[in-house]
Amino acid sequence: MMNTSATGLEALEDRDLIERTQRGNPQAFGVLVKRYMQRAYYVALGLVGSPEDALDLSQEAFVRAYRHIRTFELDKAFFTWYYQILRNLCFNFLRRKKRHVLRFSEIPEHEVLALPSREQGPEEDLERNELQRRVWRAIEKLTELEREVIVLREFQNLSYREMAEVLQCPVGTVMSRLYNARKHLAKLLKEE
Amino acid sequence: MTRNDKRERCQQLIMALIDGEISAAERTELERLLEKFPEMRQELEEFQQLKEVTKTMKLRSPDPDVWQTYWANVYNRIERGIAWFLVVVGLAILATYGIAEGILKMMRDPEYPLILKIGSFAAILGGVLLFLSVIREKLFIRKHERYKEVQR
Repeated sequence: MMNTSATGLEALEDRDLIERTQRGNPQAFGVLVKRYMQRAYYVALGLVGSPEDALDLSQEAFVRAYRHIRTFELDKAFFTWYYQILRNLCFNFLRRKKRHVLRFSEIPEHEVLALPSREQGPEEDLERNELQRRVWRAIEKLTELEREVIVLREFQNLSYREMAEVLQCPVGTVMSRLYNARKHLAKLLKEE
Repeated sequence: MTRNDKRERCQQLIMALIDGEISAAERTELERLLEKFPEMRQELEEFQQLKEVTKTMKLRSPDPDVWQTYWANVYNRIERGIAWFLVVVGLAILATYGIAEGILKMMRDPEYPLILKIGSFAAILGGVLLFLSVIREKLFIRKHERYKEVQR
């Protein structure tokens, strides 16, 4: 494994790191991976709902990004480009999973959400946790595209402009997609 | 702007309001639209309640070890990918050589019936055509797809 900690690459901007990676320096790519790994993992976790799969898919997306780094256009943002790879991997994974009749919600909520344990919190906390669990179960039932906008907005705290960039659509479309996703989410919560 | 367009604009501005992305001018615009579509106020309230819950939700962090070994795992996969590629290319060369040798030996041997030779020739020709067809398809997709290399 290449050690990236003592190479002085950390101070470089994404563009310089990508240029170095394109010239065959995997250490530079290592710095990029470390810079974006948490964001990548949490996006994947929100999309696929399983910590193990999120880890595997986010890492695989970095491997594919490395293999195709020469096609990366330097005027683009790295994460926007990487996100296209990750979302396709996640959506393909979910489609394969559906075919194998494995349910998305087989993973208990407490493995995905950061909830305090049921026994320790005061009553309001427990109520809030229960509500969060219900919302999470409803999010799991959304379509892939609906879940995607909810994850980017609620769990990644991306602005509309940033969402428009990664989703490659106008801001107005982002807002409409969010509206439809939240409308569906509210409906699912009422049905529970 | 048609009534549907205005309704859609109202929906978009409701999103901007609950996500804190609304400007002063848009807020005024939303107020005007809500007067036109009073039923949307109820939706606004519902969305605000939902937002109250979702903004407190956080995804669970993995063990800190995961971040320590993350890049190492990615790097190992990259390295192994190269190794697998070499193994597959090597085996493909060996297999092609072996098959070609076997076929040529069979073709030269008068003891093998003609029908077997024709069948073998047809199978090889079909295989080559299939291979060329797949290559052509891949190249065509590479030319026309935006994220051709990375989505497959």
